[in-house]
Amino acid sequence: MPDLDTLTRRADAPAAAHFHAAPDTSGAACRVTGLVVRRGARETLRGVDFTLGATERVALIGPNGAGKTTLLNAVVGLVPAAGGAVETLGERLDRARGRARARARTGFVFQKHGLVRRRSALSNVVHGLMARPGAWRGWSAAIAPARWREDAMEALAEVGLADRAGDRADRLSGGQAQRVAVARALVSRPRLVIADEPTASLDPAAGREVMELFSALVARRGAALLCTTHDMEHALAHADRVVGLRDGRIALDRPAADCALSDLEALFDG
Amino acid sequence: MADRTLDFPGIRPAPAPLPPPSRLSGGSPLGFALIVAVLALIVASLGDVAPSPERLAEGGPRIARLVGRMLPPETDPAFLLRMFWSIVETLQIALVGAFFGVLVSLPFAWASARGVTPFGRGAFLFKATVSLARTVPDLVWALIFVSAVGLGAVAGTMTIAVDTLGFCGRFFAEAMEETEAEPRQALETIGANRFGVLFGAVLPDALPSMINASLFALEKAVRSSVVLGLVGAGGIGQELKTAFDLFQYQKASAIILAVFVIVLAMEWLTDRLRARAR
Repeated sequence: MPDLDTLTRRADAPAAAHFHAAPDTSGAACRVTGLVVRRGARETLRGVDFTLGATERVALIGPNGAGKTTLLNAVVGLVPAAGGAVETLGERLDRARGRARARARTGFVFQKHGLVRRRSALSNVVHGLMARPGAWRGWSAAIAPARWREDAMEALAEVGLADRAGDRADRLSGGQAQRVAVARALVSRPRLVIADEPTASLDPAAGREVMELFSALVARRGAALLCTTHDMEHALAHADRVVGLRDGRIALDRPAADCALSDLEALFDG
Repeated sequence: MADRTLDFPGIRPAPAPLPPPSRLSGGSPLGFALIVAVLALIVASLGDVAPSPERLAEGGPRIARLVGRMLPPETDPAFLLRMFWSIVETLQIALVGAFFGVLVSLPFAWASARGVTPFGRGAFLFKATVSLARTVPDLVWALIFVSAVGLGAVAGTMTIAVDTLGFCGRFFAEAMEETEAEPRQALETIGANRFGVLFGAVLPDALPSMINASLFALEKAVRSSVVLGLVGAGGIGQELKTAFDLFQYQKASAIILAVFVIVLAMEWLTDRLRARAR
């Protein structure tokens, strides 16, 4: 497996001309106000107020069941709000059209990579372009326009897997599959990237490598990042700010530079 | 055991073991009553419909006489040529009927698969249609289509198509329901529409199972198309019925042998194709 320097060099090399645009500094990537989410009779989020800056990287931490994944899902409108409001990339998510527009500019990396196993790595990355006009051309790399295929190859090169483009996803190792998932999330040049414990299913070395690469690519694109993690070292190393959730409420919100490992671990006590 | 824990300060000795659960704890009284009721029904039915030893003794020599009159199978070239073309027609009925059945099954399966359907509770209408196609026997469909479009291969093809819808519609839907949720969710989050999720994530994942079901459907279609001729829906079955009606048992045995070879060849072929699709 290539080391990170090699990967980031590859990331630099082909893409400089295409790197999107300057980061959006005009407004927040996401604004959550008094958010309440219910699952059955239980409130999984209980009045969460949270703002994510346009190019900010936030690590979301907290014990299991604290509501981290629910908050991520709410930010892209995958779970409905029972109270409060969510505005992502300037779109209100309580309207279908707003949700679609917000999702089209958001990249999502899951804990389990979520690749289509029987499709090639290239096809899986092309899937990330399905929010573009002519979405059906993104069903598979075989029918995708040349430009889409080039974009997908470039994204694969950025994660160091251009040479595995034709391999089926189920032939890749866990770390490689997660890097393809990162390429899929970033290929559309999103303004907001959301990651739900992206390294939880990887061994520590692969997890570190994927996280460093992921964080570097998001920063380079000037996108905002909202990432849940159980790895406190990742949180401190890759985030500008750490937000801690406990029992559906925000219990910690502090710049990463002002946090000590013990502060974060205290969130899990009791 | 207690002694051993003394070597590890801080580890408490294990509590006294509990007795194992009852051997019958898995079954409910209702389940037990149902099993008894089914067994009683089988025993009661045996007296009404199972062949008695006397009837078996009477039937044995008759079967032997019939087999004797079937041998040797007919080898007249004119008959064999006619049989060959009937077999070709049978295979055409099976192939075209199964093809259209598989084609129609795709939208029905998508519309009825739980977790994939875009129709929500309306999915049961599609599921019910597929169930209707499956529960009505193929010979009954053949009688209906012969009445509707007349005697011959067209009625047979329509019968096979509906029969395949009943079979593939259900198995395709199950294959779609069993696809991994993560890729579907990933594409939804990216902003893919329902067709994007279907063609990007659901179909590629379900394809091996769907190919498997389609090959079974083809195998089933060949077997069904052989007997459809008995009710006038074309194919080799019509020749078989004529041979029995006219007491031409040697011709009948030649046809039965040919059917046996066709079905065996089809099973061999579909087994090979299934192995390749894995």
